[in-house]
Amino acid sequence: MKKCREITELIERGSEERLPLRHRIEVKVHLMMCKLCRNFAKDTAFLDRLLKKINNFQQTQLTPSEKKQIKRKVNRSATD
Amino acid sequence: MYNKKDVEHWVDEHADYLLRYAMTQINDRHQALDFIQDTYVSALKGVDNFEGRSTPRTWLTSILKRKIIDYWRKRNVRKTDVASHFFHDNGSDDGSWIIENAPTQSVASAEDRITAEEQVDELYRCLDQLPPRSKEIMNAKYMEQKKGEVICKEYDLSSSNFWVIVHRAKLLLRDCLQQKWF
Repeated sequence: MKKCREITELIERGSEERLPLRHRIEVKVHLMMCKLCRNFAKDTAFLDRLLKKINNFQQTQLTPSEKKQIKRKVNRSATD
Repeated sequence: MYNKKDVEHWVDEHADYLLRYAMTQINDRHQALDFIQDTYVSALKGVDNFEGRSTPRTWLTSILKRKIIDYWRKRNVRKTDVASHFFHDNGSDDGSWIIENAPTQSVASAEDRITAEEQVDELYRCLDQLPPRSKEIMNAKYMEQKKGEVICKEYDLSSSNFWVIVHRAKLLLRDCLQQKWF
């Protein structure tokens, strides 16, 4: 029987690929019995969402160096 | 019972002893001296709560011991496999969670009491603590939203290696957030 280490690996993999039926059942049965792995499953899905949010943050916000560059440009144009 | 002035005297009285003790645990004089220094700093902070139930030397040694244990724990986590920080790797418990580092709390359950901005901020900080290579790979997977197969080709990884890296990064991130939020 698979233990938590392998089960959590399968959960991770299952977030992107469709797992073989045997593995899907193993994960399901294990989760019914194991609160810690249930927490991991919940949290890894949560992290996926959060990591994607970061992606949006990066696209919609300027990085410090981008801001600096803009300020430099503004200053230069002010002294022209 | 004791005060900050005493701590100063204890340097003269016990530092040599502490250094000898530290040297038996770590074979690095420079590092050992750092620990001795830290020990006295902690002692200074804690001296008001030291009730003198043991001798000052025993008390100082117990502080030093804790610092050395922490040091080894951190080193071992970095040096050995990340997974062995989270799962037992031998005996009848093999493959099951090490309870001190297990998801005893679900960080997702804290979602409602922490603002979205804070969540992202903390996650950034946790991402910074990942080993450089797994940070790059997480970046490719999430920021650049590349599929696993593409990342495997770019980084010359087997599919199972890739998932091992993602799995470990997730364990570390999750644990990092749990420590911050609970």
